[in-house]
Amino acid sequence: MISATNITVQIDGHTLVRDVSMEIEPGTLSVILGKNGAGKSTFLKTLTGDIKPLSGEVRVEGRSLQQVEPLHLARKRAVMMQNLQLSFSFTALEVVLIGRSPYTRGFESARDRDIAMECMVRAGVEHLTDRQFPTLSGGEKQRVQLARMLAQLWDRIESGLPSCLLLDEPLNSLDLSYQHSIMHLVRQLSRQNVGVLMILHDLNLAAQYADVINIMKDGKSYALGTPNDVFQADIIEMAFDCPVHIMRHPHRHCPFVIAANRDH
Amino acid sequence: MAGLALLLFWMIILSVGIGSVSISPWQVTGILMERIGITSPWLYEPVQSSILLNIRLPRVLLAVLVGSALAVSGAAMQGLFRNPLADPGLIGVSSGAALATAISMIVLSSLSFRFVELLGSFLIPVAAFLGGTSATLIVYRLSTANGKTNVATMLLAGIAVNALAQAAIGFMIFKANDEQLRDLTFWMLGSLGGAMWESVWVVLPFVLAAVLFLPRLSKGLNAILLGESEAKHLGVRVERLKKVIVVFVGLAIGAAVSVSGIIGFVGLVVPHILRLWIGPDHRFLMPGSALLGGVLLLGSDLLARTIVAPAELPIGVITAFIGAPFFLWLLLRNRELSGYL
Repeated sequence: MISATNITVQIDGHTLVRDVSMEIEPGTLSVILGKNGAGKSTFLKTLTGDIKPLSGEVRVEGRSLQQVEPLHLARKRAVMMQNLQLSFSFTALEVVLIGRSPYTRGFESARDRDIAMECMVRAGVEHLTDRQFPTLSGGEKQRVQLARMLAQLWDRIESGLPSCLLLDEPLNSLDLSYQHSIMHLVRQLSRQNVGVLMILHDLNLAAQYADVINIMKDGKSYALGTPNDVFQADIIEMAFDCPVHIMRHPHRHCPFVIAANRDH
Repeated sequence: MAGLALLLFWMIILSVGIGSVSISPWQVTGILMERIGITSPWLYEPVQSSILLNIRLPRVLLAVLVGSALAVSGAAMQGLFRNPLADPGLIGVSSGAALATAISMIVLSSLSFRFVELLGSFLIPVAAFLGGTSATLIVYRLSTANGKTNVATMLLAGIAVNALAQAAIGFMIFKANDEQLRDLTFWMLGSLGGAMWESVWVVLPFVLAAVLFLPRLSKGLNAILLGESEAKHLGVRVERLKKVIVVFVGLAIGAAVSVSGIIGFVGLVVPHILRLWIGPDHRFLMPGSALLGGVLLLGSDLLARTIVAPAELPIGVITAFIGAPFFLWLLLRNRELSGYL
C-alpha cells in the first residue's frame, strides 16, 4: 500500500536516514524499533510526507506521494504523531469528529457522530466524550487520538478496503493494561485490512504483536524480518548497545527480551 | 447565532436613534421604509430623516463593518497561529496598515500620479491592505522555522514590527505639513467620527469578502488547531490555507484601519467571549465573531459619542478600556487553569 524505497534523509548536513526501504502492506502490523536517535521518527515523517527525502521515493498504491491528492490520501491513510498540543478547549468527542473532516462538507451528519462514538467505544474512551481534551491525562489523550484515527479510516475499515495507519510511539504515557489494549486493537485493525506501521520502544510488546519488525541503527535498517528473525541476542545487543538475554514468552512462545547485567 | 443576528439588528435600529436628535425605532423604520418607497404610519421630522440617512446610518454601518472585520480576523488569526492570544493588533497587521495609510496620506497624496487619481478613494484602503499583509507576512516568516510557528517569537516579532511601524509613523508625522498633520491625527485617534457613505462603500467590499469567505475556512482551521501536520494528514492544504487567511485578514484589517485608525482589542476579545460561550469550533466561532464584533464596536461607538456629548471620545479609548482589563483577566484565568482557554 505504502512503499518506501532507498530513503535517505539529510537535515542540516546530518544524514539521519540512510538507504532505508520498507513496505507497508494491508493486513500486516509492522513495527520500527531502535535506540533514541536511530532515525525512526525521521523515517516515519518521510513516509507521511512531512519530510522530503534527499533521495529515494515514497509511493502510495504505486503513485508518488506528492502526486496523491491530499483529501484522497486522508481517506485511506491516518497518521498519529507524538505530543499533540492543543490549547483550545475542544471536547474529546469534537477531537474525534475532526477525524471525520475528510468526509464532510460543513457539518458532520448523524452518521459521522455515530461513527465517532463507535470509535470512542473501540478505543475505550466513551466515558470521556464530553471532557475537555486539554484536561485529559496523557494516556487518555493518546486513546482519544487513536479514536480519531479510527474515525478517519472508518469507511474503508468497514467495507474491508485496504487502508494505512502510521503511529509514532502511540504507547507513550500509557499504563500496562492500556498498552496491551491498544496493541490488541491495532492488531485487530491490521486483521481488517489495515496496514499498520508503528514506532515502539518496548521490545517485548513488539515481539508479541508485530508481524514484521524493522530495527534501525544509525539511520540504517539494521535488521528486518519477523520477530523470530530479528530477536537474536547479537542483533539486539548491537542495535541497542546493551547486553540482553533472549527467552521465550511462557504462553505465546514469541521471543522475550531482558537486559543482561553489564558486568557479565 | 440567530440571536446574535437579531441583537445586531436591534442594536443598529436602536443606536441610529440615539444622539442629540433622538429618533424612535418606529421612526427609523418609517424613514427607511419611505426610502424604498413604502409609506408607513410613523411620522417624523425632515431633520430626523436627514440626520439618520446622512450622518447616523453611515456611521453605524461603518462601526458594524469595522467591528466584524476586526473580530473575524482575530478569530482567523488565533486559529492560524493556534494561539488564543493572537490579535491583528499584536502581530503587527494593524500598525503595518496604519503605516501604509500614513505614507499614502503624506507622500502619495502630494504627488499626482495618474494611477493615484484612478485609484481615487480606494488608494488608502489598497495601501493599507498592502501594509497590513506585508507586516503579517514578515511576522509570520520571522516566527516560522521548518514549518513550525513559534508563538513566543511571533509575539516578539509582532512587538518589533509594531515598534518599527510606530517609529516610521512618527517620522511621517514629523515630515507632514499642517494640513496633512490634521488629517493624520484625526484618523489616528481611532474614530468613526468621519464616517460618510463614501467610506462605507470603500470598506464594504473588503470586509464583506473577508466576512463571507473566512468562515468557509473553518473546517481547515479546526483541523489546524490540532497541529499543522495533523491538519495536513486530514487532507487540509495547509500552506494554501495560511496564505488565503493572511490575504483576507490583510484586506479586511487594511480597509478597517484605513477608515477608522487602529481600534485595538476587538479582534482579541470577541472570539474569546464566544469561545467561552459556544466552544472553539470555528464553524460557529467565525460567523459568531463577525456578528458579535459588529455588536461590540457599535456599542462602543455609541458610548464614545454619547458619554461626553456633545464632545466625542475616540473609540479606540473605549475598546481599550474594555479590552485591556479583559485581557488581563484572561491571563490570570489562564495562569490558574494552567494554560487552556
